[in-house]
Parts: sequence; C-alpha cells; structure tokens
Amino acid sequence: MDTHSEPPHGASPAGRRQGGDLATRAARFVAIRALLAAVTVAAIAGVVVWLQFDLIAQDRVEHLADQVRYRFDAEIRAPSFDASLLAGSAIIADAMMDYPYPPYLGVMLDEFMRRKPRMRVIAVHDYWGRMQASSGSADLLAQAAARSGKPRYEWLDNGVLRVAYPIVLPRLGSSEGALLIELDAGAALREVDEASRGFAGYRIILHDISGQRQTWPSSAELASEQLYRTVTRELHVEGFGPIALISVGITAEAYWTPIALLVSILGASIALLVAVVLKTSRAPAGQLVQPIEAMISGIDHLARNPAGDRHPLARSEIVELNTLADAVERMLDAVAVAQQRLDALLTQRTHQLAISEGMLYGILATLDDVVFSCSLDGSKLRYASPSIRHLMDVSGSADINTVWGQLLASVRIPIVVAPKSSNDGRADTIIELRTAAAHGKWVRIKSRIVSGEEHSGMGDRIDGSITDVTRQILAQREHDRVQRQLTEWAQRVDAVFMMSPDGFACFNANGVLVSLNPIMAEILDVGKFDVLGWDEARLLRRLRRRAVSTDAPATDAFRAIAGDSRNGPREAGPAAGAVCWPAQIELVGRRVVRIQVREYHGPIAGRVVYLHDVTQEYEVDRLKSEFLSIAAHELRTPMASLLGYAELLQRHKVAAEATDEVYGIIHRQAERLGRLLDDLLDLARIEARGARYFHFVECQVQGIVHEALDGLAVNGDEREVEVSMPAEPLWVRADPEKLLQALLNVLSNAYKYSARDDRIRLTVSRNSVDGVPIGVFISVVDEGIGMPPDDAEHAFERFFRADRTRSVPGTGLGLSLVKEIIEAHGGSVSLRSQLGQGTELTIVLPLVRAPVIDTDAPWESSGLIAANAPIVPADGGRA
Amino acid sequence: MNSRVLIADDQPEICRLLELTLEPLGVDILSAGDSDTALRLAHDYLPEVAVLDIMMPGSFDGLEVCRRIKNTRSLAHCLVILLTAKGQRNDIDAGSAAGADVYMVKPFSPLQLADLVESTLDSLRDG
Repeated sequence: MDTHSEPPHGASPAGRRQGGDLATRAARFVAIRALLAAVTVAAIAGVVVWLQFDLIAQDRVEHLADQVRYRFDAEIRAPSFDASLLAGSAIIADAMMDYPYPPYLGVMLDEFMRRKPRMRVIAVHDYWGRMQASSGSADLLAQAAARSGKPRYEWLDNGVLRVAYPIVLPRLGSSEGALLIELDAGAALREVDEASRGFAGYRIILHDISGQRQTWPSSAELASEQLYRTVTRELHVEGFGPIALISVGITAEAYWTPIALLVSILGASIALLVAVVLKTSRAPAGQLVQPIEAMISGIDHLARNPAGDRHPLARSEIVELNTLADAVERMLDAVAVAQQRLDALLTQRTHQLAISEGMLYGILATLDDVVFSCSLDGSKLRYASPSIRHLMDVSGSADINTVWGQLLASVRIPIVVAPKSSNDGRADTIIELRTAAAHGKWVRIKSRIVSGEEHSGMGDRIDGSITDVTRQILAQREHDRVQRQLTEWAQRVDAVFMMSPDGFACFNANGVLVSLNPIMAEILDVGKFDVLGWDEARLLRRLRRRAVSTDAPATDAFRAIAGDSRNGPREAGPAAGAVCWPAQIELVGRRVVRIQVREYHGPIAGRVVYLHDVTQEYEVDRLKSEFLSIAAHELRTPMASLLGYAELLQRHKVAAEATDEVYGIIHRQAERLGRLLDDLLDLARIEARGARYFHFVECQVQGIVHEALDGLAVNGDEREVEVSMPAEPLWVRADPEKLLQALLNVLSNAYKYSARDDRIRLTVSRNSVDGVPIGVFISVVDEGIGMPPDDAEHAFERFFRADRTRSVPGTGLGLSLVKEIIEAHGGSVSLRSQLGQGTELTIVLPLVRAPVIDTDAPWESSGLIAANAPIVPADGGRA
Repeated sequence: MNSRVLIADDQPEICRLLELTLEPLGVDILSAGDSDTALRLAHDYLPEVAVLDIMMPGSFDGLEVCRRIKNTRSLAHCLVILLTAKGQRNDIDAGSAAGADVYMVKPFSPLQLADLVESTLDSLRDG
C-alpha cells in the first residue's frame, strides 16, 4: 500500500480530510487493479468469442449458399433440362406440324408439368411467338428463341425465370417455334429461406448474372443493405452458362447484436466484480487503520500537553506500526531535550538583551544628538532619545509627543521625504538633510524611510537623527565672514600691487613663485602665468639676463645665485631678515631697479622679491654727475690757461715780445671764467628756486626789446639789427631783468655766429585765437654759419657747443639759460637751423591784458610797471 | 734735425701755452686743433712726443688718437702725454688702457711738462 501518500501524524483535521481515509484508499486501489484485470480478461475473451462467432457465421452462410444451389439445381435446373429435351423431342415437332395442335399436346404438357412443382407455365409458341398457334399476342422471348434457333431466358421480378427453347424439326433442322416455360425460383428460395429460420438475420439474394439487378426478393420487399460474410454462388440452367448469382450473408444487425450482447454481459460482470471488491476490501484496511489512529491520538495528547507525563503509545499486532511507534517515541525524547536547550538559550539571550538594552539607553541618554523614529507622515513619534528635551529646552514634565509636535512645527522645512525606490522595492535608502531653527537653535535632521517588515509589526516609519548644528552654523558664518574680509583685503593688495611702478614677486614657504604684478612680468618679459611655480633663483637668473649692467652688490648676488643653483638650496642666498642686499641693476629699456628681497615670518613664511624702480633717481644722479664733470672741465680749461701762463710769467720764461699776448690771454681767460661762473650761478639759482627767484611784473615787450638792442655792445661789430615790431603795446608778465638777459644772450649768439656782412633780424609778432591775442613771438634770425639739425636738437643742453673749433668764445651755457628763463615765464623756446644758412630762434611768451598805466610814466625808461597796478580790460589797452 | 712735438688741443690758449712752454727746448712744434689734424700730423712727421687733449672736435677723441698712435709701429716709441681736464679715476684708467704714457690733469704745470718732454727727448737722443 502506498503509505508515502499518507498524511503526516498530528496533522490538522483539514490535512486529514484532504487525503481521504486509509480504508477507502485501500479499497479503491484494489478495485482499480481488479478493474484493469477484468477489462483485460474481458477484452481477450470478447475477441476469442467474436472470432468463434464469425467462424460459425461463415460456416452457416456457406452451408446456406450450398443449400440454395442444391435446391435451385433440383427444382429449376432439372425441369429446364427436361424441357429442353422435350423441345427437341419428335413428338413436339410433330405436334407442331399439325394445325391446330393435336389435343394430346395439351395433355402431354400438363402431364409434363404435373411432376414439376416449380413450373408454373409450359406452352408451345409458333414461329411468330404466338402461343399454341392462337391468334393471341406474340411472346417476345419465345419469338426470339424460335427465330434464332437458340434458347433464351429472362428473369422476371420475384425470381420467376422464363426460358424458351427452340423447337427444331428433326428432318428439316429448322426452328418452327419455341417451348416456353416459367419456373418460380423465388418460391424455391423462399422455401429454403423459411427452412433456415433458426438463423435469423441471414439473407438470400438473387441477382442476374451481371450482378446488377436483384431479381429476388424484389427490391420493394427487401431494401438493399450491408451484408457481412457474404458468399456468392453461380447458378446454371440447361442450355446456358451461368445465368444468375446467389448471394448469402448476414445483416449488420444479426451480425453485431450477439457481440453487443456479449460486451454488455462482460461489462456488467466487471462492474459487479469491482463493486464486490470495493465492498470486501474495506474490511482489512479498516483493521490497519485502527492502530494508526490510536497512535495519532496518543501523539495528539502529547502535542496538547508536552510538559505532562507521557503515556507510552499503544502497540498493535502489526510489526511495522510498532516500529513506527518506537521511532515516534524516540523523536519525542529528542524534541524534549532540544526544548530544554532552547529554553536555557532563551533565558540567556533575554538576559543579554536586557543588558544590551540598558547599555543602549545609557548611550542614548548621553548622546547629544537625538535619535528618533516616527510614523511615515511624521505626525506620531514612536521613539525619541532623552536628549530631545535638551534640544527643545522644555520643562521635564512636558509630554514627549508635545515636544515632538513643537519641534515639527518649528522646523522650517517639513519632514516630508520623497521616497526613492531601491532595487528591491523597499524604500529604505532615503537620506534627507534638513537644517531648521528650533527655538533659536539650528538642527539638522537626517532620516530614512524604513518600509514595514512583516514580522516586526512596525509598519512603515521614518528613522532618523537630529543634530544640534548651531555652533557649526555660527562657525561657518564666521568663517565665511573672515573669508570675505580676506578676499577683499587680498583684492586691495592686488590692486595696489597692480598699480605700483615697482615690481613684486611673492614666493611661498616652499620657495615657489605664487604671484607677481604686471610690472614684474614686464621687467622679466614673461607672461604672467608662465612664471608661476618658478623658484627665486630662476627668477633672479632671468633678471640677470635682462640686465644691461649691474652694480657690485648685484653682481655678487647674481654670482651667489649661480653658486646657489649648483651647491644646493639657498645656502649662498641673502641672509634671512629685513632688507637684503639692495642691489641696483640697469635693465633693457633704460630701466634701473633696485632689487630687494624681504623675508617675512608669520603663520605663513615667504619671501618677496621687490624691484624698486629707481630709473628717475638714477637718471638725475647720472645727469648731475655728468653736469659736474662737464662743469669742472669747462672751469678747468680757463683755469689751466691762467695757472699755466702765470707760472711761465713767474719763472720769466716768456719772451719779452710775447708778454703782451700772454697778458691778453690771461685777461680773456679770467673774463671767460667770470662769465662761466655767472652763468652757472644764474642757472643754479633758477634751478634751485625756479620762478620764485623771479620778480614778475606786467611789462611791454617792445620796451624790453629796445633796451636789449641798446645794451647790446659787441666790440668792433657795427651791424644794426633789423627790427620789426607791431605798434600796439604787447604786455607780458615778466621779470624784465631776466627777460633782458635772455634776449641779450640770443642776440649776442646771432652776432657771434654770423659773418660781418650777414643780416640779423628781430621780429615781434603775436598770435590770436578768435581775435583774442594770446601769445607774443620774438624771433631772432641770422644768416650765419648755422648748425646741422642733429646739433640743433642739443642746442639747449648745458655746455653744448656746435662750434667744435672753439673759434668763437662761449661757455655753452647761454641757450640753456635762455630756455630756463623763458620756461620760468611760462613760455617756450624753439630753434631752427641749417648748416651754412643761418639760425632762427623763437621765443614765445603768453600775453596778458594791459594794466592801467600812469600816462606820465615813460615806459621806455625801464619797461617796468608797478606790480600792484589794477588790471584793465584788453580792449582798453588796445585802444 | 730737431725733435718734433705734437700738440693737440681745441683750446687755442692751451695750444699757445704749450708752444710757449716747449719752444725754449728747441723742438719743432706741430700744433693741431682737432683729432683728424692731430693724427695726420703724427703720421706725417712722426713726432717723438705727443701732448693730447681728450675732448677734441673731429672724428675721434684724444683717447682714440692715443690708441692709434700707439698702434702705429713707426710711432710706437712716441711718448704720449694725455693732458685733460678730466681727472676722475675712471678717466685715468681709460687713459692708461688707451696706452698713454703720462696722464696730466688740467690745471697743470707747464714747466713740469717741459721737464718731462726734455728728459724724454734726452733719453731718446742718448738711446
């Protein structure tokens, strides 16, 4: 029996119902097998019976067919043979010859027919087919036989056979008529059929020889139907070949009915058998079930009362069940032991859990951050660590839910988190950062959604923590503020550095260039960002390449750098401290800088290379020393003459005839020295004090020009200056003495550098803008030796003399003085000259409006007007 | 044949002073006012002594004239006296670099110069 499909012991009643009880299943099992066996046997038996039946049926059919033929031969064939003999007999032929037929013929024919039960008609027909030579209608069959001389037959319905034999005259051999007979074959067959009534369902059917036409029974009597086991025989009649076919078979009904009956009987037997088996097999199964159920109830009792005393399970006569009971008891023992262990473990774990919980709460109590768990919408707080009271700063008596509500209300951004689905569909990965002010404090809430776990019963919730970030926020703000200040400060410093004419390059503590200003980049001729990352030595080497000349400290420093790069870092560099080796170098582009390296210490150490632009100072120094050198040379030259000649005179080394010449030379040289000193002093005064050294008054240009022409005394030169001046008085604000000195210098130059027959012209003119005179031009033109344009550019430089032959005495300071004087007046001087053509020097002075003047005062006398004179409008002056 | 002394100075007074100073020595005096003349005279007359100013008109200055004289083989023996108002250290260095034998700063003592020229001529004559 298939015990493996039995439900387990102690299963629920539902489980017991599911499987069906053991007895039913056992009975069903036996029944199914019995049914299978019975069906198999029945099938085999059915086939055997059917085959047997078939054989019997076939035998019967053949037997019947033979019987039919025999009957046909006896009752149809034999009379037809007799009739054929009769037709050929002389008596018939003789009777034919007589007309009308002799009376015996009829008797004879009757007699002939009397012994033939199946013969219904016998008649003699003449050559035309008329019976008994009567005047009746001709019979076609008899006519055909008579005319052809051969026997003819035809089948009528209901199995009637008509046969016509020709009647031939023996002597003549000609056919004179025919003997016609009708034989009722159908009746013969019916007799056979009726005789075989024991075999219902057999059919005898007569066809003509073609098999097409059923001649008996008539188709009205018997419809054509399917026959089984059909046997066909040919029927013969004298004078012909086979003239008909006889078929014998069994109808479908007759054939199948016994088989169906047999199958029904078998099926019923099988059903009966199964029913019997089902009925009888329940009893032994019930015997098997009883002890099992006893065992089940014992186990149930144990399950209901596991701690109680255990009764041993009932035993039965079945060995297997006893073994099963033993196994169950052993299992129950093992379960009891495991239960004890489990109880001990549970106790231990519970204890540990209590300790852990205590620790956890202790930790949570000391935690500054708040740990919480709340419902998904945030409305209901499930848990919050105690520090929430510190955070909220509420009295200890407040309900925790109230505190939570206050916190939520104060949070600027509500805790609503957008769920982000994780891979497993459980939204538990959301981290939300929120900063909110709670009672003046800033808190940050981190939370995550925990989807409900089925067994924990916690449902969907938000777990999270709240951190007091007030201090961080304040610190961040302070940091931002300081950062802004620093940025501003750095931008200011940058701006200053940008605008500075000096170059700066800053190095960080690692000696790496971190910033430089545009001037430094320009000096080094590098892109501002190309040099970032250079070290100091590289920058200074670059600087050295840009240097045209260096002073001694700079040279030393550069040598030190060269050594530095070879011997290691910064050993030979300037010592740490304030200003290091201020060294001056002249760079490409006439720029002169002083290098300083300043090292600063503080939280961030670093060095600054500072290039102080001293081009101006350097240029001033250079000009000063150049001037001094030239001045000394110019002073020494007459001094050398004076001293030299004096020494010769003193030692009486001068020949008597040369004495006068020597005295003359000494006088001229002394004069020259005096002039030189005067000019130098004038220049020095103007330079030192500028216009303050001047005493300005309003005066007329014409007056001063006249005074200059009067005071001009060139010994031995008789030439007159050609003067051209406008009549109206032109007023300028000037120091008359200085202006006079300037004019005299210009005029004496014109005399000195022109030949005796060259003309000298002086022109005074003015220029106007919109009719208002604004400037006066005083132009002095000579036709003298002139000078090349290159020299004209330098004409106003101190000690410059275009006349290198020194044939004309001069200090080289005259035009410098003129320039200084006129520029102190706010005017300008320009010079145009061509070598051998002459020179034109033009003084431009600003015009002023004429002052009110005392008409009695002779302007010619000094050209000098009271400085305090009130100013009158220009048109008044012009009138 | 008298010894020849070349004088080159753009100041006529100085030239005259030197002439007066050196005439008693019985030498021929070649006087030039610019550097080109001075160099031409030196090459033409091969003077034993040349007194040169540094700042002179012409194509070169006195230093260059001195250098050219010293670089001429037939004039290599010539005593070159640079007589100049430039008395600074680097000027004197430049003079000696140009090959000058004597560097005199104006104002100078004519008699001292005369003694120098005389002794030089004597030594040449003796040599």
